[in-house]
Amino acid sequence: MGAPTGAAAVAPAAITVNGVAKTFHTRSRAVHALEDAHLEIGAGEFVSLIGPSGCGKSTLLKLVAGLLETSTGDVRVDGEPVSAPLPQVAVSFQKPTLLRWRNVIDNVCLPLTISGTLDDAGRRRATELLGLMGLDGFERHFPRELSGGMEQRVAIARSLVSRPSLLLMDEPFGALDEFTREDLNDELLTVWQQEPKTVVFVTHSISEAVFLSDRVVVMSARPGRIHDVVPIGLPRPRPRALRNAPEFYDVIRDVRSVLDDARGVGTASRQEGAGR
Amino acid sequence: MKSTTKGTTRSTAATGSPEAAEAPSGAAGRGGRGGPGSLRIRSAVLAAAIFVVLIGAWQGATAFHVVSPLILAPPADVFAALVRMVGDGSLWPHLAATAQETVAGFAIAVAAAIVIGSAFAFSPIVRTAVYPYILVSQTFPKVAIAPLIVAAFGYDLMPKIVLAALLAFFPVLTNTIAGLTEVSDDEVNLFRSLRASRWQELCYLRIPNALVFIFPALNSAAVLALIGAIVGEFVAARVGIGYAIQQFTTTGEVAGTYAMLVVLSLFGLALYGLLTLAERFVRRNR
Repeated sequence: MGAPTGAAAVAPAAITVNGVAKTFHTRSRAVHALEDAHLEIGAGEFVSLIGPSGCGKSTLLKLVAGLLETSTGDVRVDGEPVSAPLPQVAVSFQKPTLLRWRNVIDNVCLPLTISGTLDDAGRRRATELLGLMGLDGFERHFPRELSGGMEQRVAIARSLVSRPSLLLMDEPFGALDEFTREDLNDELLTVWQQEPKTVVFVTHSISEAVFLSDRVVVMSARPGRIHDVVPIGLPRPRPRALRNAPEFYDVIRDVRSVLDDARGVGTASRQEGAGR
Repeated sequence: MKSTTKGTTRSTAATGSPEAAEAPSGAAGRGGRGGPGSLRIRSAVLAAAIFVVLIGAWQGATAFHVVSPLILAPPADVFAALVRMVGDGSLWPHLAATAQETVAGFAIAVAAAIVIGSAFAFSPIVRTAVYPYILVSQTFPKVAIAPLIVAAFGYDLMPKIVLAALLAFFPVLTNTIAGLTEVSDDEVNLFRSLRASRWQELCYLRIPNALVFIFPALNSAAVLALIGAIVGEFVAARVGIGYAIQQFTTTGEVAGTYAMLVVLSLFGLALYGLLTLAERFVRRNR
């Protein structure tokens, strides 16, 4: 069985974030979105970034994606400094961002169309990925005919079609209801176990971060910083039933207390800033 | 029949315009009971009833001298005038001239607007510098310079084409710019993360996105081109529907004037139909 459509599996990518800061300059002031971030992510790891709004988690993800440039420090993927989007990296967004004039299968094939590598094997892979995401028979449907959860499934199939070694996901399930979100979490883990790759996953949801991840990076806001990194010791594979297990709740409680701590620091620094 | 007439009177009061006869979908949207088939039939019946009521009101107004016969001709006379002009062939030169002016003006306007709009969309500097002038010229009533354009381009088709193009240009321009630039950050980021070239971003994202904006603009551009052509013919012409309207009105042949109005609305409908077909074709193939 194993991974869909033969072809060589791609070795997962490793990430190094070294002293990275990002400052946005508006007309009147400078916003420190991210300060002095250090992070090592091993090949094949599933890491979530979590924290309050304005903690720089999306900024950090976009820096790794090469969609933003660092103000200081450097980001490396497999030792290669990131200054522009890399070919082995796929990004998915909070909005499914499907092209509404393309049907499902053509949307999934978009990365192959852009890279000029679309062939029959690519189309077969796209169809298999759609099957894996529970979307058999929807190939010819248009995005407007799909529910939010189905659209996001298509977006995930699209991000996997080019066999990336690193998958960057920016709150992909943030707009979905809890049941759909849990289904998609399960499907994502299934795919990740079939095709090992490094995943960096931005989320607002503690339980989602704990369920999916090997490690959870807790960030604090104003300025955005990495507050702490919590290893998640839960064994894999992680079945649906884990969500009802006491040890799952124990880990959630741990992460929540670290997050509360991070937000406490955030509140203190905000008051300090207001006094200035 | 009695019940439909009753329903009609209410709707005529609500819509109160002949457009209702052309757009039964408006009536369909308010229904909702019964199957879609019965809804379609009922709105078709309603549309036909509105047509009958309007023609009846028109006939009544002329028969009972509510409106002077110098202003409003009876429908039967208008129909007779139309049949006569088709029969003796005197309609065709007028229709051909107006159609040529409208279509040529429309085509020039659309081509120019898409080329210039694309240039604007890809050069923020040009856009910021030139856009205020475009806004000013949009608020300016361009028919006001019709006499000048006739003076500049003579009495043949050319000044009408220029006027038609001038009127049709702006809605297409603004919607082209909007369609090419109004793509979301996520969409742009998606294409950047896929390492798409600017050309690919144009072909796979911006142009298909722009079509949604451009097609509605084409409909108003077609109507505006027709207005430009008619106004140009009013100012100075030897042939054309606008010219014929002026001739009939000054010689007191009111029925002829109304026959020309009927021709104009049929021509407008034909343009609209062609554009709808074109849109369907392009959407299916993009």
